[in-house]
Amino acid sequence: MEDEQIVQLFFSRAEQAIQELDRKYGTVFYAIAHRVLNNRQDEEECVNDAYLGVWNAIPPARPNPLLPYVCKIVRNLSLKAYYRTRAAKRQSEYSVAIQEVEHCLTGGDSAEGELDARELTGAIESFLDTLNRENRVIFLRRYWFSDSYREIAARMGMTEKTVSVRLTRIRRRMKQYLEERGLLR
Amino acid sequence: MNMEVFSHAMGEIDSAYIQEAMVYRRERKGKTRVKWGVLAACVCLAATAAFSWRQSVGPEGDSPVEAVVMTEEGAVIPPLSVSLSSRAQTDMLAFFIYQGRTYTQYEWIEDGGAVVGEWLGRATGLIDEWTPRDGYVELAGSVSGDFYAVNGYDPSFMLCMQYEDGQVSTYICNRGITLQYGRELYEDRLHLSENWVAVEYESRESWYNSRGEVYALGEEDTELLGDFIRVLNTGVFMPTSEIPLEGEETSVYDAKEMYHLYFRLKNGMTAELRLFEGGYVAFEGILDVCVQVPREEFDALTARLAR
Repeated sequence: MEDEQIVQLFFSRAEQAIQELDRKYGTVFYAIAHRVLNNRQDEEECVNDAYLGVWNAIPPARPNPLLPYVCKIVRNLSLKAYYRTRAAKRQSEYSVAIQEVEHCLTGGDSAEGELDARELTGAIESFLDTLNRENRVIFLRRYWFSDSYREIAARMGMTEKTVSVRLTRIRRRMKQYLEERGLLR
Repeated sequence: MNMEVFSHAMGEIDSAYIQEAMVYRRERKGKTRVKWGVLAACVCLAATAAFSWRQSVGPEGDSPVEAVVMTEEGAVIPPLSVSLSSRAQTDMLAFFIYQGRTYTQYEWIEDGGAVVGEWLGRATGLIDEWTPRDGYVELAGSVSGDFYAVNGYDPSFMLCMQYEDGQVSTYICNRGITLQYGRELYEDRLHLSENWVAVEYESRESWYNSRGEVYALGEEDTELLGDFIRVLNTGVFMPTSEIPLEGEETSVYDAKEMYHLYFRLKNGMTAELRLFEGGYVAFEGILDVCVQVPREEFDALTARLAR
């Protein structure tokens, strides 16, 4: 079923909307939740909560494209569960990935007290715009999707070593970018 | 910076970025179907028109690897002749052919302009249906672009490509060569002793899981490293596949690999070595062969790494 048709089912308040969404993209949502939570029960809870979130959001939202819209909801819910339940104790691909960023960005103070989340999001987007497409994809696959190095290498047609080197360089550039904008001191 | 804040900020970025990352997959340059008749002619060439899995020259993957042959001259690493129908693998390897030798991607160097030497030619990309029946495959491969000598290194061993953002990728001729003593690789080709300026290391577990738990050796370890390099150079090459396994062990990489050792060189390159139980040492760019160094020097080094 096309995304437009699925969205229309949401507008029609037909429960089939959730079924079709799950049928078409369920594996993607579970994969995102799994990489953060690494626990089947928590993953199911998050994905189901995400479906409820989508049900409540559409309408009035009419997302296009649909997939990234729902993926964001799944990821945000997964992260909330991760930090709420201290699932950090349970090693997941996300926890490994975020440690890489943490090693890079900590060591200085951030303007946390005044840090506006929207401002940081905007800065990250601007930083992403400075990257070429390949590097931007590598960065997002690692730090948004929490893909493993092996998965990124397969997608990008590179060796894992190349991915590792690229990510190291990108993290360094991001740190400099955020420092220059006063978001990291 | 609080990582929870960072994570949530990442979660709010525009969907367009996420969509781009969802749909992107590297497209092979010159992606075309190859006529099998032409293909057969190409494969017959001693110029090794082959696709292979660089990281899995050995047990990491399942590519069919032609065995190293031991002769009086040393360990002969034959060219690969993997079936070109293994398309899944072809996407993984960056290589090109120059003067009949296959050069396989070894590493990426940030701001690697200093290593770029004389321009030598332009790799054309994949073999396609226009490749002549006589199988001329010089300059063909899975990557296209200008390639150069690497300053200070023999072009028959190492070449490089440079990119707009200043990154340089090096390529090593690691097949169709014969190695007898460690010196032939570590000194004659890599110039290790005279060029290393720092050494870092990480455990197999850290490397395999991409944990990045890399530690540096200090000045106080200089003598230890000097002893290690000395015995490395006098070691005799043997097939890595012949590192003894025990019991139900099936992979020397899974069962015996201990550390990755990174010799950082003056020009920004890295000579990466893998250390295996029993004193076996292999260079990351040529994993088919290894040398066995005396236990005294090996154990002294690994004891230091374990601290």
